[in-house]
Amino acid sequence: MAKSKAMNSAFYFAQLKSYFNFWFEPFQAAALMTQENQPVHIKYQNLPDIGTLPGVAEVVSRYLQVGEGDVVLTNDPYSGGSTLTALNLLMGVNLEGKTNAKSPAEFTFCVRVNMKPHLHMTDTIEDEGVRIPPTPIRQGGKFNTELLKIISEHPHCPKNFLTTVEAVVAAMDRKVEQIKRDTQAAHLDWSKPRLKELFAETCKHFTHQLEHLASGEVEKEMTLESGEKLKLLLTLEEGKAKFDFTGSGPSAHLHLTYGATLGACIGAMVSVINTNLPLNAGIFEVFEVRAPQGSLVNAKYPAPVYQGLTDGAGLLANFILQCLGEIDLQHRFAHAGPSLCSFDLEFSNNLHFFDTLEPGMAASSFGRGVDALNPWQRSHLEPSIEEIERRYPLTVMSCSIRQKSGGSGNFEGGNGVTKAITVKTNCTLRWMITQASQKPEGEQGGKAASCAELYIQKAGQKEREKMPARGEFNMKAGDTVIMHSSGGGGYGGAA
Amino acid sequence: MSWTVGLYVGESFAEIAAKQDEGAHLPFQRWFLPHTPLDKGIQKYLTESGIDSVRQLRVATRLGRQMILRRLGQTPALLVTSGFEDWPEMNLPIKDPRFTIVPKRAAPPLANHLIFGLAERINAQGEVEKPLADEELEFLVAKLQMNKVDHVVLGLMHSTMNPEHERKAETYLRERGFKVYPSYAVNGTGSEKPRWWHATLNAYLEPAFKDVLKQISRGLGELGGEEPQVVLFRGDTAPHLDNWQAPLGSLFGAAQVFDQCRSEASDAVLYLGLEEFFLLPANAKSQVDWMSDFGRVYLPHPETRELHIQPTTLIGKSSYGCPNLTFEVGGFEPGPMCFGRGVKPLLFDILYLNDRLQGIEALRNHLTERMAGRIRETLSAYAREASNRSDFLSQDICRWIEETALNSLACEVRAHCQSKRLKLQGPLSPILGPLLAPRLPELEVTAFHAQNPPLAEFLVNSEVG
Repeated sequence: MAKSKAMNSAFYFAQLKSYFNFWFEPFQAAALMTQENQPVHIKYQNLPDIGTLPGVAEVVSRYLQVGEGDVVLTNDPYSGGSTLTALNLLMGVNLEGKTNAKSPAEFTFCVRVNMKPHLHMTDTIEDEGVRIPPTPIRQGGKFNTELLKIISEHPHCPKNFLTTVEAVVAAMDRKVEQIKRDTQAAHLDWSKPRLKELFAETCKHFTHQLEHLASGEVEKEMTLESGEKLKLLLTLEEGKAKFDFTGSGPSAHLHLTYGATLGACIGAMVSVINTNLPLNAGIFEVFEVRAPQGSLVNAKYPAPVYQGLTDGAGLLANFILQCLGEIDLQHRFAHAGPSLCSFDLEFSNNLHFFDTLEPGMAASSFGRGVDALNPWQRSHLEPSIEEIERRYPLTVMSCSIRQKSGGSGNFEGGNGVTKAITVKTNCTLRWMITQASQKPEGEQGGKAASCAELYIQKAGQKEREKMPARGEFNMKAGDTVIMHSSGGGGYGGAA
Repeated sequence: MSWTVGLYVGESFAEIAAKQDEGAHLPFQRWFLPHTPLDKGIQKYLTESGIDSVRQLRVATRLGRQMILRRLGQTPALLVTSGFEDWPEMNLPIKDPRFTIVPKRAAPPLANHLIFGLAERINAQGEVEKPLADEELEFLVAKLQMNKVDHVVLGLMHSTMNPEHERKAETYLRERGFKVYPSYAVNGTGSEKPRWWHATLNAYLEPAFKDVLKQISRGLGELGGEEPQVVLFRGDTAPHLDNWQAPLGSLFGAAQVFDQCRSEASDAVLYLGLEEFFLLPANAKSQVDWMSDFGRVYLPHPETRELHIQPTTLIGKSSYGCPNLTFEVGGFEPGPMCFGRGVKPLLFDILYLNDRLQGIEALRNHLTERMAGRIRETLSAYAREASNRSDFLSQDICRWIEETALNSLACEVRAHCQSKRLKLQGPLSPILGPLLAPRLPELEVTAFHAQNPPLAEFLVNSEVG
């Protein structure tokens, strides 16, 4: 056989994507960023990850010099992060053999790890949990254990904070070592021209795929149940996607950061294009997102962000799909319930149980909606009823598909979930339902789905009481909370 | 004279080897199952070798893995605590790692209409909160009979804390002729779903394994002496006759053999077979669960890494407009294009075009030269977009895909081998080993066994408790 040529760029970039799949495998969400804050590869779990992983790397590099092996920790949504329970660990990495400890590393390896949320009914982020601004926790090979200990002693700090941080940093160290070895063995090229070529090639392919959608412009408004306005001017033309949220108002509960909004815009379009391309700077080039500061799509400190970065991001992505359907009639979607129905049972002894319920997916011109599936979340927990019942003083009475909760139509909307829990000791229940009073509408004659709802059935009583969209309730032993997530709207006139 | 026979049953290949009780070995045979069925292959080997008495036949197989992967088993009914009928299916993983408007959940080895609820409840402390009434079971039997189900899995909450209700249902159903798989017997896990999946998969695989056992019996025919003991290798317990009743453990039978045979626990073993590649990391700890494509399954086994790159990994068109390896395994049905039946190129076809497979005896008669042109055409068609802007030939494509496969293998081995020493084993190891070694310069890469014997010989020589 003749001596082979150097690998063609297309093959090389496809191979590089496989490498990232292996390198990022142990992490839920991760990104490799260049010194210029261009994402080389992003692995995401949810919509905010897409926009906030690059965001947090950018903020950190603006204020701190991260040398090779240095590690910075932050969970601050207003420093580019996601919710307060998402810890971001950023490590400086040199992949081209440079070892100057005094200059910033060529790349930032950013890993996000999600801790168990704790619901707080609050008006400011400071009461949502402990907020950690970008903080160097390892410099020149030395861990700042004192500082980590101080953070871990904060009353709102998650219990396993210290061990989690140590384990994730150790895993990052191993992966960096592996990336370096793989780079050497397979002659991977991290030079700026090669990366520029990677981004250009990705951009070209993504643009080409985007051009399969009809081009045009649509302006659409949505009024949230609390009365605030979400407004979007979406323009798809010449291979670019422009999102202008000018005119959107502030919100009472749903506060998205700019990064989360950017993530929702990119995530929604990626889902429609169904692209296999890796998420890197080449794809980001295609998007332009304008979000007025102080509006619900670009919240200002100190607005709390938990509900916005969970339910709000999904609501925004669903809204974008609605807008898109008006530009491209081949891609029409019914409405989906955006709420994950987060709820929290706080028992004595600092024991708290947190859970969410997945809504049903909306039907679309492509088929029926999937039952009990939030399409904007990649990793779905695999909880165990038996484990939950062993750890917490409660009995899960049932957990099932909420039959007939999806809207009917030629294509039915996906059904939501029903869960009933009886508590064995007194506790405090907190919950949040977004858009509780607005039924997810059908499309093209499809019917609306059922809304998310929460009921309390007191011990010994047959009647159950419907509760408001969010709140707090002191449950007594024997009381039962019954929660229903919404279905998805149906598509097409029902026969 | 009595013999011990080792038999490895793959998806498309089988291997057989024999050892006399006095220690003499016979050369092994490997054959292609679509051409020679299992029973005929066994008969042929015994006859040609003059074996007239078999003391023990030791079987390892990847049949279960294939049946689960391709969902070819027999779907049983599942009885769960009322209120949790949807629970097994509600958290099935989404296949796609990216956002998509058409997400699909992994298909479970169950059917919705065959999951029934039983009104009963045992709590986390093992106390009966709601007793299981006979009427519940009576009604259920009628439903099972109506659905013509004879394999029934029991998955009641907290049955490992208190198996009372499952035992009651088990007795009741057995008396009425059902084959019952209670989950209380799976007592190594405190989670209901891994336990339910374990019991379900045993029921799902049992009919096919029963059939294999029949084929083996036919293959053994009328031998002299005592009836041979046909034992099945598992990943957790010693090989045994009874293992045929709970065949799920056979998924890691081969891994268990290599785990036992390695001389140093600090050696990692990379098995490069015709049908599968897997890695046994060094100092392997026993694993409790197996991560199937539909969720966690309780299945104790030696720590094993099922590699992403497999011999029958499908080649598809990448998002950059060139052919590349997918994460999908094509298997041998219909198999590689070079065997004359497949329609999609596999890594196997790339190895064939790169002249890597010529030295493998068992493949020689199955490789179809006329297919080479068609494989090249398919690859060139996949590469059309990328080749518009550059000049390369189909040989280059094959080289680059092979290079990507080797790099991926090296990357995964590096990440998980946990050792400085890597031992290679399997029919493809003499071919792929020299190509892999330069990609793993930090490891000492050597053969597991100088003669690279087949798995069947390891079975024959392994210690059986």
